[in-house]
Amino acid sequence: MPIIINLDVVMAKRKISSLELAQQVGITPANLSILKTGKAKAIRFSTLDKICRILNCQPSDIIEYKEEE
Amino acid sequence: MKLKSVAVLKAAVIVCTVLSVAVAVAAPWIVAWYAKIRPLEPIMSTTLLICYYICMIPTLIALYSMLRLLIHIQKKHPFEHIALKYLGIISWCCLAVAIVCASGAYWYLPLAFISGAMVFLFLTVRVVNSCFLVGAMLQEENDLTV
Repeated sequence: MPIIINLDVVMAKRKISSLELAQQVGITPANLSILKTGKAKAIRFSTLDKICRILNCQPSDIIEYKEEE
Repeated sequence: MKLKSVAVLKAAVIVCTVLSVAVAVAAPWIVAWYAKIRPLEPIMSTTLLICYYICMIPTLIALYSMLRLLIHIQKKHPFEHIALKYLGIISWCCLAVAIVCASGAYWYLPLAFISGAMVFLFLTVRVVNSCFLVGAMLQEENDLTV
């Protein structure tokens, strides 16, 4: 899929662990791992809203579109 | 929500299994009794017996698959790929019975009706299997929505 998730990059910049972020967002660490590894098929607006608020970033910082070659 | 109907179906499947085995044990006497009340040629009674015993194999496999499928439904995991596998097994068992009965219909014509019914059942289960396949895809998408 040409959608790339840069969540781990933003998390590293903010120095926040996966467990901490999962707890603050209110999702399970397993679901956060699905999102980080790019296995997720969809993301709820409510989840994206919480992630952006906690990491103080824009959705475009987390989600990127790269055209397939 | 309690799944009472599933528990009833599980009991029905177990009862059907016991009855099938009981009929298999008593089959020679049942066929002999039937031959007395209805005129049957020896080839017809032999055909009935052979078809019943061959059909017992797919029947028992299908009943076991039904039981496993009902257990998955009771655990509220009906759209897992293993459940689809059980539905597939049930449908192929229906087709196997249909083929056996169609072969036996050459010697005993009423078996053709059972064969037709089993083909209809095979198609019905295949349609349900397709519905479950879509359900499994939706379930997977739902599971991977964060």
